[in-house]
This record gives sequence, C-alpha cells and structure tokens, in this order.
Amino acid sequence: MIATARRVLWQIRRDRRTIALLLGVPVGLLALLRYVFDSRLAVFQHIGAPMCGLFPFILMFLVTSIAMLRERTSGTLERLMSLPISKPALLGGYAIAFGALAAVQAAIVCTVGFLLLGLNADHGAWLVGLLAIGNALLGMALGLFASAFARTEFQAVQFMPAIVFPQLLLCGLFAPRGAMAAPLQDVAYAFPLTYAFDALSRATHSGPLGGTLVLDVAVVIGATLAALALGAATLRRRTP
Amino acid sequence: MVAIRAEGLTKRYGSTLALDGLDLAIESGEVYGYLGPNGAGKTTTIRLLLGLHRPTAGRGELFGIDAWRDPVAAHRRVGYVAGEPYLWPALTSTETFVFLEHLHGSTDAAYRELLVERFQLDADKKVRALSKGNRQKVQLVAAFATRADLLVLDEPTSGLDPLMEVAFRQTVLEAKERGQTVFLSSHILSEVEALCDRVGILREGRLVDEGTLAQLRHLNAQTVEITFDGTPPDLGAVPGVRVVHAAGNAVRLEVTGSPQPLLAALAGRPVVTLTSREPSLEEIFLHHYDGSDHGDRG
Repeated sequence: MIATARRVLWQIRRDRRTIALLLGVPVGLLALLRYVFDSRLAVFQHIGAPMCGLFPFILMFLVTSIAMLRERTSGTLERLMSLPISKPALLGGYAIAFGALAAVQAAIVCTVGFLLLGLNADHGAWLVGLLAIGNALLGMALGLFASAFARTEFQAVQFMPAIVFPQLLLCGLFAPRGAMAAPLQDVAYAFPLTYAFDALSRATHSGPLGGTLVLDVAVVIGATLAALALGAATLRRRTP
Repeated sequence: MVAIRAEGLTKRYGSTLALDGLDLAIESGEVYGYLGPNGAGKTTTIRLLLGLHRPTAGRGELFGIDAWRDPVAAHRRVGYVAGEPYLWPALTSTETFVFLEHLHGSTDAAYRELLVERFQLDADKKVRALSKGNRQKVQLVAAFATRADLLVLDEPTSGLDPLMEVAFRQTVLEAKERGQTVFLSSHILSEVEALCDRVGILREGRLVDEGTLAQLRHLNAQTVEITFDGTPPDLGAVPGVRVVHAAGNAVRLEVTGSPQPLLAALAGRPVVTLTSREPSLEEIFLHHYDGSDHGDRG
C-alpha cells in the first residue's frame, strides 16, 4: 500500500502543472472570490469558507479520473494486475497518496483563507481541514469510478460538468437549498456533496455542531466507500 | 515440484479460439521455450497462467496456485516481462525498480546493480525518455532482480540490439544456475535453441509438438539454396536431404544432420552459388506443422 502511495506521489511530483493545479489554483481562486465580493464580505464568508473544504473534492476528482484513465489505457493497469498486490491494497495506496496531497492542499487553502483573507471558522480551521481531506477522498473515489466509463482523457474531463457541477449547484453553496424548487431539494439529498457542504457549513458557522455533523460525515464516508467498492469492481483483470 | 501446469486450458475471445485445450507440465528449475509465430496464442497462454484473463475451460496453475482464484499468492512467485514494456512514464528506472521490488519483497539489490551495468541502462532517466528497447531492459532488470521462483518472459528480446541479446542470454543462464524456472515465449528459433531445456511448439492455439531439442531434431535443420549452371541434379535421394523447392536452375533443400552426403553428391556438379542458413520459424511451420496436428519428426 505504501509502495503504491509513494509511486503515485513520485509521479505527481514530476508533473509541475498538476502540483500547481492542486496547491496554487485553490488559493488563487479563493483570493479572487474575496475581491469579487469586496463590498459584500458576508457573502464571501458564506461561500468562501465552505469552498476551502470543497476545492479538494473538485480537484481530486479531476486528477484521479485522469490518472486512473491513464493506468487503464496505457497498459500499466494490466501490469499492476500481474503484480503481487491486491485490489484493496492498490486502492488504499491511491487513497493514502491523494489523502496526503489533500492534507497539504487543505492546509494551504485554510491558512490563506482563515488567516489572510479574513474568513471565519467558528469551530476551528482544523475541522474544515479534516473535512476537506474527507471530501478529497470522496472526489478521488468518484473519479476512480468515473474513469471506468471514459476511453480518452477528453471524455474523462467531460465528467466534470456531468458529475461535479450539478452537485455543486444543488448542494446549497450558491443558494440556500430551502429557496430551491421543491423537487430539487429532494434531488440534492441524493448527492453526497450536499452532506459534505452541510458539514462544512456547520463547521464554519456559529451554533452547535451536534449529531447532524456526525451524520453528514457518515454519509460522506459511506459514499466514499461505496464509490471505492464500485471502482474496485471496474478494475477487472479481464481486460479484453 | 511442478512450476507450471495447464490442463485443457482453453480461451475463446468471441468467435476466435485463441487457445485450444493446452496441456503443459513444466518442472521447477526447467528453462522452457514456448515457440510459435505471432498470433499463435503465446501471450494468451501467459495471461491465463497469470490469472489476468479467465479461462473459458480447463485450468492453469503456478506452483499449484490457480492465479485466477488467488492472484496475489501466485504473483508473489513470478517475475513477469510483458510483451510490451508498459511502465509509468513519469518514473525513473530506479524508481520503477524500487516500486516493483517493494511489492515483491524478495529482491537482490546487488544483482540489480549488476544487471543495470550489464544492460547499460541509465537508471536515472525517466521512463518517458527511454526508447522501446531501453524500456524493455527496465522490465528485464526488474524481473530478474526479484529472483522470483518463476520468470515468465513474453518475447523478451523484442527491441533489443544483438549485444543486449547476449547479455540477456547470460542472465537467463544465471537464473537457470540458481534453479529459477524460466518460461520463455519466443518466435526466434536460435534464442530458444541456445537457452532452453525443452521446447513446446504452438500453432493456432494448439500445442503441436513438444520435446527436448534432441527430440525436435528437425528444428536443427539447415536451409541450403543452390543454383546450378544448367539443370539441377536430382538430390532427393541423398541421405538427410529434402527438396523443398525446385525451379529452373535453383533448388532449395532442407538438410538435417551432417552436410557431408550432400557435399559428396555435389562434387563435380556445376554449382554457381551455394548458401546455407538457419530456417526461419515460418519455414519450419510451413514444412512441418502445416495443416497437420502432428509434427513430422524427420
């Protein structure tokens, strides 16, 4: 598992653009958001604080879906299947690698967001950071699963608008879910990102955390495990 | 101990019968040559044995382990060189070795260094920057350095230059001395002749012949082409000589054993040119395995 994690990190380290995407872009976007809402800082707080925990989800989905697609199409997946490594260990290795990247990413974004840009996390920036890592793993698991349905990198990128954007729109980040059309409110509860957003929202607002946070986190973890299980089923040895 | 066993191993891809009832029993410590033209089913056999694809019928085992059922246990004992050197382009050779060795557990780092020297590999270069032949070397070094009980090599010298083929042969012989089992898939006759204790010949998914090199004497035949000044004499009756083709002033012969009887028969004849060479695998297949399921052991 450690060997796989190290191999994935070695590969990403070489790819400067991906490093920039993972570590630099979220900070840049957050800073941009701050000055977009220059005269309405309450809105920045409402959107920006949860954003710190959602960036890892979005970017890990993108990076994993493409990285896994490359393994599938370049023949290295068959290579992996011929090695003494089990599927859970392989996926565990990916999870460790992307989890570690997410931790660095979350640390940077949270530091900039909560210390420099004046965002406010009532229950502590560390909680946002932890939730961010969980969301990154959810993004990774979904990306891994999605990569089974793409044949080219272009197709993999198309999953961004198809899988990620609807969840972002419906989760309550841009508009409160209570203000949405009734059917959409129900649909939103079918998406794991809704629960991820609720947890982040609770962590950044005053008020008791309560059992709902635990429930939200449990849903995110459950969705991650389900996506990993589905993803594992797509790592077939029988590549025709 | 049997390293590789196949019983009625069969694989059908759609309407194509890629492998048809293969039976193999390869003893531990044996160097086995698996010879066949492209598309005969060599890679399919390896994929089934390694449990990468599921057999349509029959079973394959590595050291008594069905690799489809328990891939991790089976793969722990195997060093595998795939037909195509698919590796991770962003890693250097050294990083690739470290990754593969970590998974295998049993690795001889000193021997790996020696092999990197022997194959003249720049181990700090990224795999992306390597030619196909160099990527093939990375695979070879990684497989041999694991010191796995069984080495499964799928056309391992494709893309290697002749100097490196020498290094490859030396490395296989070292593995043999250590008692490792080698399964060498190839379509190059001379390579198999130089290395293997036993040879299996695969044609259109079926094992058409199997034996030691001495038993497969016809594999040692030489192809002799002669042009005469005038009509060629009838050489069909000369011992060890078979006329494969005759047209105009030229004949093509297959000579088994000593060429002495042929030379005696040619004495005093108006020979213009004479060439002698090893037959290609295609020629052997054409003459010995064409259409029939039994080899003509002449």
